[in-house]
Amino acid sequence: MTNNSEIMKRIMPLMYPLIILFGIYLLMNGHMTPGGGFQGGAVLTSYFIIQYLIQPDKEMYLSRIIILEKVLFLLIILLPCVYLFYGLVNNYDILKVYYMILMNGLIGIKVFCGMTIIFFRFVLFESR
Amino acid sequence: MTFFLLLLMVFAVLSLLTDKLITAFVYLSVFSLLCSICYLLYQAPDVAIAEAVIGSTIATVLYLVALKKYKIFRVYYTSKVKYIKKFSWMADERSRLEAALQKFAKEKELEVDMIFTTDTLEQIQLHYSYDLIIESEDETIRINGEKSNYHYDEIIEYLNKNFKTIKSVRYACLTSSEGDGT
Repeated sequence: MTNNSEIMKRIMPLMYPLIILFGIYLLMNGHMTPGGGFQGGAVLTSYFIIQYLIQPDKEMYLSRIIILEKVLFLLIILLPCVYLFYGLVNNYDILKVYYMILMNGLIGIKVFCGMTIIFFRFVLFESR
Repeated sequence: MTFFLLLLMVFAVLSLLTDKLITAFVYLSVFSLLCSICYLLYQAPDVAIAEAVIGSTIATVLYLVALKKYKIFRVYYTSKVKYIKKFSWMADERSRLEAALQKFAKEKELEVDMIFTTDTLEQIQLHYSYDLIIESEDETIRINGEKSNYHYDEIIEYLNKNFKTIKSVRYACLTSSEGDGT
């Protein structure tokens, strides 16, 4: 996809702040309204896909994203452990909401990283 | 509700019946979108968002990229004459045609795989997977391709513009039962 179209170039920069805002909205309100970590993360994935469609030859730091994903995975395991075993579940009711938002956010970013890796792995490396 | 379910069926069938892969992808994307509307109407907005994002956007983009990656363009060149003499007009024509194809391929980022055989058209059609079969007889060059091949129209347009010979060039459209789609 080296010859990208003029339409994409002009429309997509206008669209993608809106798409990212929508993704963040899904992440932040996942505990009350439809949405949540996975959906928000999947919406956020379109950030890099759009970037690829507009500028295919822009340099990507895929290895950093892979490291980020691993770190997030650790965090996702550690945070509930801390939350459970330090007895924060029963003592502080106010923490519950923040905990939900934090977890949704972490899962969202992890899904975002994972999908981006899948997409770029496929686009850049796989070929016959 | 019923309307959307019926439309779902229509698009599923349409995506199966199209010749070109690229239109099938577009139909599948519409199918996914309708699917997500159905989920919404069944009061499952969570699933609807996931389906809309993954099914109709990311999967479609991945399919299109995969189609772009399908790069090898296989051309069979058959002639009854077994050995073509060097510097004869036939060899000349052949090399010019090959050059034209290579140039076309370079524009479209394909890789041409030229194969010279003495098999007949039917044999090639039956036994090999091909994109284009060029038959060269005494007076004519026949370029055979499938309509469902999605480079076919482009290549004929290109050759019409850029490849002129003394011999007459005829284009024939094959319809084969192999639903390879490529």
